[in-house]
Amino acid sequence: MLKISHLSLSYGSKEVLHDISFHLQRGEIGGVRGESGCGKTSLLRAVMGFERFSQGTIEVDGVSLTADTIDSIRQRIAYMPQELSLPSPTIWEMVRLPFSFKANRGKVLTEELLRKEWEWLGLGAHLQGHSPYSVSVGQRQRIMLSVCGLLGKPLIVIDEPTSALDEESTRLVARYLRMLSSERGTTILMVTHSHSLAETCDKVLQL
Amino acid sequence: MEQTLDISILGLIIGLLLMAIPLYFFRKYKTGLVRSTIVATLRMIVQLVLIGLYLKYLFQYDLWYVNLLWGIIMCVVATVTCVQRTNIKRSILMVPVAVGFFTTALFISIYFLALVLRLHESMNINLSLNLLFSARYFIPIFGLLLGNMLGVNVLALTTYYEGIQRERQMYDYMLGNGATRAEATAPFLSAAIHKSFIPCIANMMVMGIVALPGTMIGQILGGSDPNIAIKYQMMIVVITFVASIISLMATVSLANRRSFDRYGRLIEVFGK
Repeated sequence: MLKISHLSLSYGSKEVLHDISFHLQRGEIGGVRGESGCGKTSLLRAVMGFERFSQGTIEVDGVSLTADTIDSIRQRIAYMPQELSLPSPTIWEMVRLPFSFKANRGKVLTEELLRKEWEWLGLGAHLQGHSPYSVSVGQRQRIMLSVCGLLGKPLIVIDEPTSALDEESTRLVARYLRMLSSERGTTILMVTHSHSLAETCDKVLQL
Repeated sequence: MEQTLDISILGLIIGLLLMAIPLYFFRKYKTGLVRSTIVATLRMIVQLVLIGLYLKYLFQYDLWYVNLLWGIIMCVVATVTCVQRTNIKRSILMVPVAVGFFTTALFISIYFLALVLRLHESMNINLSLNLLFSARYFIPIFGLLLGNMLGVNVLALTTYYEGIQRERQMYDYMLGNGATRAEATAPFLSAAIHKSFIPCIANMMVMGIVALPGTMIGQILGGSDPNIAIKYQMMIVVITFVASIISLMATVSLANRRSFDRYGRLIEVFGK
């Protein structure tokens, strides 16, 4: 599903990633770990086509990432950056945003589906009408994670989904990700500092 | 119609003396605006005198291609001013703004002169290039449109690009979840349109009650019937409003091709 081969990435003269290879099969969870500044987020951004790599290849679902294929590749991915807040009036609007894109028009979003997804993540349905700024960062992270699940894409790319969560919530996120991979066949690539979340991973890339 | 009341040199000097009041406050509160205000006032005087002399000849000869050439020069100056004020790279914005300004101002000017003012019917002559590009009508309308488009475009373009740069995570989130480039930039364009058109709409709301617009006042002081001046003012507001949004859409759509790479990433747009 995801094949990163001999990837190198530099910012000017500073090489942040050197000869990285990492493969994930369909339904596998892959974790990326390492110290701050070692290039974890850069690797995820390279997979999304947001960073240019100097060497190597990235393949998603058998399609090699280039300027010509990036649009179709992004249509196969659900992406969650770190600590994102969208200027939506309500959480429901924030959740709905990616479903308004042409590429996702076929995807179904209902309050009932959202409620079921939130049950996995320990979120109350009453949050739907709240402002995104009235909930905690941790709640917002779980809400955005549920959007990734609901989009039903074959690959989910997540940057630090539990950076603002306590142990109990992290456990819920781990259980949710495991459900996505085993029941829905979703492949997941995520950056994480959390030991308990790393234990959920089928493969871990240590940078 | 009454004769236009002229302002004497002495009258102009007395009028200019009023500028001492803002200069006094600018100095008292150490705003750093004294020098630039004096320079701007002197530049305005010199430029208007020179343009006055030039327009006198332009009106006297009244050749359509010379008038159109003058329109192009006005457009070039407006484009350079717009690009300078936005602080966006010339290589990105110069051509889109020039094309957006020129095509919009030309289209709206011709629309107004031929279909609204119906110059040919009023003068009982055939519609021709000489009539459409006559100095008396074409140059003031063209200039008026450029002036308004300039203000709106500067504010909107700055808001648009600053927004994408500041909210890069949001832009990436949308692209990363399947949005097309047009879908991912839409919220930023919406914010830019909102910010740049709010003053125009607010001004329209109070027009005639709080704000008495310059064109109308100028016409009335120049001896026109107030009813005619009102009709002109109405049309002026409409065409400047319409021209502002058309030019902005044209500029943004052309500039987008130069400001994003093939992966949809915003390139470094600010700078020389």
